[in-house]
Amino acid sequence: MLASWFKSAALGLMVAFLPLAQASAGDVPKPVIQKGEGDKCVEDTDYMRRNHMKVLNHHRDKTVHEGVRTKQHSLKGCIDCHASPNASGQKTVLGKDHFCQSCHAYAAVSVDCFQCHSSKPAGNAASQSIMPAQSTQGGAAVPRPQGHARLPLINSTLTVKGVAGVIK
Amino acid sequence: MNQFEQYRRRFIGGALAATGAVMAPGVMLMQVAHSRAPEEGVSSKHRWGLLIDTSKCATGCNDCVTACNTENGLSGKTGLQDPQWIRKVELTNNNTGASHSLPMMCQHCEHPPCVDVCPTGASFKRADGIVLVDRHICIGCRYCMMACPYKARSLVHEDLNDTQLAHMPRGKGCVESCTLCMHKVDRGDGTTACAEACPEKAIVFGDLNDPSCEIAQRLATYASKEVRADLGLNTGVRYTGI
Repeated sequence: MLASWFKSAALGLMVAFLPLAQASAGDVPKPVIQKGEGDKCVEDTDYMRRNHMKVLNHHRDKTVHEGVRTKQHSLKGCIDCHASPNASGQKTVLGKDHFCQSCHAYAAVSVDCFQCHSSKPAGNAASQSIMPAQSTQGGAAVPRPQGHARLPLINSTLTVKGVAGVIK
Repeated sequence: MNQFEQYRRRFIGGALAATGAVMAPGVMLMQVAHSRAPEEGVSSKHRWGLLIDTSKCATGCNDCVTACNTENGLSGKTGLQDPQWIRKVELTNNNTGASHSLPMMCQHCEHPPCVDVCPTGASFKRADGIVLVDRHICIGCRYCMMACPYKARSLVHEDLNDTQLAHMPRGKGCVESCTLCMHKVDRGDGTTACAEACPEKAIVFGDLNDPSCEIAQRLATYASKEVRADLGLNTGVRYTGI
């Protein structure tokens, strides 16, 4: 009798706190997953969601050390299909609502690829300014990273409030 | 690649070479020697290198350096902390006053000191003789920069802020140097940016192991020098005229 009272009390408590739990989960916006170019990804979507990092790491070592240049699992291939235009029309995978950063921000996993790799597709190379003299917009055009330099430059468009768990 | 695939490739390669020999010997043989399928890894059959004729290299000309910077997305600045993959070096004989100009870059040694000293295994030599840094493993300790007798390597001190080119990832905190345009080599271009840009054709790129290559023929015909040959590194970059 007492046990069943405890049970119902516990259930009542859970029900009472459920809306609260839902409210806090709702603070984190769902990632915006934009459809890439082409009919389908190089692997099943479910497989890629869980294993893209393993696939990329494997291909990375094959390319750097053995000179294997297949397109299927290359990071360049990912960017070519999944980059979408930002406000200034530059196709990229970084920035709020763009393919890589949107999901990584939601999952609170830092993406290190773009400390070295270009986030823009190869076809847009001409629009990239590689010489500092060419960037005439002034110092503000290139945002300086804040905080520890090895952390990803994920803070330019996202706020800490909007993206829970992302280290600023 | 399985055994059958290897046999198949060898057969097709042989057949192509045979056809080429009948039709247009020099041209076809070169193409067969340079082509490599994307899924095929590099092999020690090739050893890529450069031959630089310093008698043609003009003092004050910087075209190879500029082409390298453009190809690889370097800033082109020459400060103490700026990455430079090719440096123009001026040599003057104090006795005679004769002066030479030459480009100096990673010499792609057969026994690279930078690979010997690397504590993480980031500095490595590819099977086809190109000496590279795996930036995924590099910790930026700069031992390789100290070990290199040619001052060929640089550390990236500044953040590059996503200005890298798609084919040449580079990053702050990593050491880097001439890659012998490996992206072009892998693509089968059969040349490097510096060799293409030289107005005097003073830089020749090619396979040191392939007797039909221009570079191998020149090395066999004319006297050439390795810089600091006394170190016994067997460099892939050779010079004539010094």
